[in-house]
Amino acid sequence: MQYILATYALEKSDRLFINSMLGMANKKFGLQWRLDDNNGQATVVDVETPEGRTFWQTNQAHKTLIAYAQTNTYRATYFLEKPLKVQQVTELLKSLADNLSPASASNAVSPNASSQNNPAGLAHYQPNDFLGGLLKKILAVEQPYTLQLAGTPPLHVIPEDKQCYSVEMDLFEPNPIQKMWFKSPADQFQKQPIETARLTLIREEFTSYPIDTFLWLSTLNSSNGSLLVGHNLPTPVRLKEYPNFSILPYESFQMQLAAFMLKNTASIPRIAANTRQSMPAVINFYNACAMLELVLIEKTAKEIPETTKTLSSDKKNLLKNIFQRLMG
Amino acid sequence: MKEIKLVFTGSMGAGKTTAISALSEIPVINTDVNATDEVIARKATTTVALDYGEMTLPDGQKLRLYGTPGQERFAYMWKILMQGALGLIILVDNAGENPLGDLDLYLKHFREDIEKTTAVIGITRMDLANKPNLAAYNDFLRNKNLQLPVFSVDVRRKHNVVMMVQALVAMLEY
Repeated sequence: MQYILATYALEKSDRLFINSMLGMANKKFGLQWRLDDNNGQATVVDVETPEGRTFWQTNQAHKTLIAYAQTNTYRATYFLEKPLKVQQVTELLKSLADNLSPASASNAVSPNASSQNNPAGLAHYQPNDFLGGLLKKILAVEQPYTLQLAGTPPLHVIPEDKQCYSVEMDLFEPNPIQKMWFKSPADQFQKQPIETARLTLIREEFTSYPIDTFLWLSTLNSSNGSLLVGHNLPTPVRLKEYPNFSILPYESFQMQLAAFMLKNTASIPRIAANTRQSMPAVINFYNACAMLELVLIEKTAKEIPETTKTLSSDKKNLLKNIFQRLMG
Repeated sequence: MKEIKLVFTGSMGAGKTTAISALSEIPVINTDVNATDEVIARKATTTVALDYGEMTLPDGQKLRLYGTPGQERFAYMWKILMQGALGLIILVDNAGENPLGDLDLYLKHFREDIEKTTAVIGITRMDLANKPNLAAYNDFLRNKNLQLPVFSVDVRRKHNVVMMVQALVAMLEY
């Protein structure tokens, strides 16, 4: 089974090194990797070069990319540390081969999934580093707190109500200031306990929003395609219930992911492959669902095969038409 | 040409007519009559046959939206309306006397249709009654071995109704 790796913005010596590693990995693991920069199923990108950074930002949502840098500043799911090391490269190739579909006849760049078990350099999403982790801690201690991030309105969190209170806003279309809540590191928030006497005033004076909405948005916006710490890509999972999108801002592809994951048990790479969504998009969605405790880990379950429910083209077109009409 | 349709069903007063109105491009055709003493405490009129609205799809086809009468004595209509439908949206009034019992009733009547197509459940008026909560509805469905989307909705908000239909379409895809 043949697999194709591409490189982008790598120095010639690094590219040659990777090429020689393909041969070693092929021999060691019985694989058939080859290098072809025009048809790669996964692409190693030197993100420390300007052109590499641009390529990463343009393509990370829909291609399988491996960040190549001294440190994983992009919090990439797939990461190769500089300088290249034999073991690191061969392990990555083996893991990719375990999870990628072999190159098809067309050898087109696959927007579908690839993954690795837990190769060296795999970055995990740590919710404690962001607002979501702060909210979880506040919920655990059941103590109301005001969170203050410079340049944003105060966020009053009252666990008893399962609500956050703040100024009036539309969280389905957050403005850039509100988005700061969801992307800023946790240590930038000041945390102040709320005295019981102030709770009534806060409830009356501010607009309430479900804490789940903040957990959801924080996780979606700060995951950057890195899987939640403690979770594994190859483990079959499913949703135990559909997210309540009436309070959870969503994009149309997340509706489809939710439907697929409610009805099927599959690993994250398989979910990405069968729904034709990028790995980072699936991982971000998975993380957000996991933070809301909507995910069932099915370690012993057998995942579904790499095929989707077969619909006639007429039915597919009809569903697409309805969806388009609703989006309009 | 085969009719393309979605069916809205659910308990009396849950908002089927309002939901169809939120989507329909034409004024909803309905067959409301004055409510009897038994139901007048909850609403002034009730639907006895059907509601009808429609949407035009990008290719010019019409998506027909049917609402069933809410009361069980009109259950014979439910099956007729469901014939050939893409799927079902069940609305449950959480401020009703027995919301889970209401859901159970519709699941029983439509079980076969749901298994052939799919369904989405919208819980209305949760602002007036927050019990049972969504977790209770999801548990209820799990116990019946059904995996269906459940949302808290306000059917006066068009985007809530759109969301239910989007979910239904996504469920049909997979």
